[in-house]
Amino acid sequence: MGLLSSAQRAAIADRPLYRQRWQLGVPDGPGGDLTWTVIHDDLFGDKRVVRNGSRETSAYNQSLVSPGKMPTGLYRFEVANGDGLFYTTTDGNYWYESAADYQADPQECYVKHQVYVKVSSTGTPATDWSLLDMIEYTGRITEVEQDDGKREMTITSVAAAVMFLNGAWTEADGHAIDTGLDVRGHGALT
Amino acid sequence: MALDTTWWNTDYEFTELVPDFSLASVTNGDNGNYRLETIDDIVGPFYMEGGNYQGTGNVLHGDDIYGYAYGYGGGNYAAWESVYCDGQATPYSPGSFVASASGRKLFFPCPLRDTVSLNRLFFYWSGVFVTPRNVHLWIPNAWMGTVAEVIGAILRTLGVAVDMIDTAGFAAAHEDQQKYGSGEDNPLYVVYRREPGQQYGETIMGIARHSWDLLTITMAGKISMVPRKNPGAYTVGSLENVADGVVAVQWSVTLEHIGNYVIAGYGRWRSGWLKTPAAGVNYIEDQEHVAVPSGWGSDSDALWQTFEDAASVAKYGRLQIMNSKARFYANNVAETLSVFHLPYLTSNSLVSPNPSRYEVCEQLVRDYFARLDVDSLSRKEIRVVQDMRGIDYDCGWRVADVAVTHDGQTIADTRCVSKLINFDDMTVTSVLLEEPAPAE
Repeated sequence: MGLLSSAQRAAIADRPLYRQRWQLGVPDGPGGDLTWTVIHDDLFGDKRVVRNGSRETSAYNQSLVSPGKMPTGLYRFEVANGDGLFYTTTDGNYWYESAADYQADPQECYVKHQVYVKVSSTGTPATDWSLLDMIEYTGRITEVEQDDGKREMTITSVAAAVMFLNGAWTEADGHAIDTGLDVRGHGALT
Repeated sequence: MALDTTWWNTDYEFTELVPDFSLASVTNGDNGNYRLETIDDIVGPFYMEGGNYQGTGNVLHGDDIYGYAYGYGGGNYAAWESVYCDGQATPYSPGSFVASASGRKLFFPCPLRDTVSLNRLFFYWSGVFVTPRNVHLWIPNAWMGTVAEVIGAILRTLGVAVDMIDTAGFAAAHEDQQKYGSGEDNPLYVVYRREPGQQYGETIMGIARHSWDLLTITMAGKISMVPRKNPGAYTVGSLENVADGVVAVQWSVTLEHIGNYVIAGYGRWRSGWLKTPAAGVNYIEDQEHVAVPSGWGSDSDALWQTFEDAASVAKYGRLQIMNSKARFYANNVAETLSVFHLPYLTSNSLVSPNPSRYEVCEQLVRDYFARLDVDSLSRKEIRVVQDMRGIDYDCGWRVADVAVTHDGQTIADTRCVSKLINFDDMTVTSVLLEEPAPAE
């Protein structure tokens, strides 16, 4: 019993129709709440993604002798940027949260990527978009790289949870506890 | 404790070793020459490690790495003479400390670690008391539980949201680790005390190495831990060329994953524990984060054990499993060896005092390296490219009955160790590592 439903498996096996959708999550301040903006939907509106890219992950602890590396859930894709809306310096750019008047850096922002396959609930033809939720992904942007010649930008992200793992323990991580106890035996707790 | 919704939302906090003194009481024993103060009913486990630190005047010279307990108050102080822990009959830290005129005074850090709800501290001293003084503790962040439990609690403590964690995977791994090795009475436990300077990612990888289970990021970007021994629902029953949309296959057989020899040890210890070795016993002079040397403990060589699969060594040569080095002292000769160290391994045994716990841990180390039955064997690594039916299983999953290779073999058991999803051509590349059945 895998992750795909029988309808999804059947759809993928028979000339599937896919729909992909990308959103950017921009905070309304440092560490603030995210406002999500669709930058590309195969079905509607803007279509900024020119290369859908790939996502990779791996397992750690593969064997005793060769455990592997820490998986990151890396996702990289490319967007058209001829109008400069992926520059933070352009008016109305994608990294600007207008309600809060906050200009974020790309590395403060998130990307959400969703993939649908068109399935049939009653037989052919396929009529309904079914979300492939096992690959519905939210990542924290770690890098944007502009190719000026092609006017395209590559956006790289890692799984949002991984960002929490980049910090390090300090000497101060611990608990100072005043027990409230007088060890002479004459205190309040006897 | 099952890792259920309540655990992930709130109860994960109980995995951390923080004592609750709210119900504690103090009794005072006084025979005229000394006082024995006892604090009882400390609820919940807590943990500090061995060492020898002492403050003077109003300055605390404790070790923030290991934690400490101290009394605080004005007036004259007497010398703290001994600290008893966990009801042990003999003091953990015998000896006389230097008296302090006023201010704060440090106790030894205490190896309190039991999971029982009744803990007890003894403070034993001589001298005259002028004013009351209170007991304070400083305890570094530390957690104890199964590997899955400790990693899960650390993730939540770091602020990782529940929806970023594959909680079902961690729960399944936790259940598996409860039945680890030699039976349900001997679950795999770790105790992790935060290590300043260590990245959180390194932390959870280091803890994960104490199990056989696979730590992954799922295709959806969640942190997951999948039990290797009993993957349960994390299984797809078969993989075939046509039925599963396979478009390309490559496979290899290499030495990369074969290990057949190891010198293994566990635990983190300070030289303070070993500063008075018994006659003829080998000791560590001043090394941190290494296991107790050969010859210490109730059974000589008990804490360093060598495991070998002789048949595999005969076939492939000695392929040593190692992750650190340790320095041994024996017969006045120092020797540095490559070892596999399980620094956080412990037991939830309520048996106290030691060394009974050592025996439990020794068994856990033996249980852990029972894995050599598999890891000393040759195995296939298969790279499978599928259409989007490749997302039917995630990284870490068991894929059974893999029948896609041109040699016509069906591989009964594999684990998916990596995935690459290409969203341009909608293909999925998975690497499946064979999980060979141990020889009978």
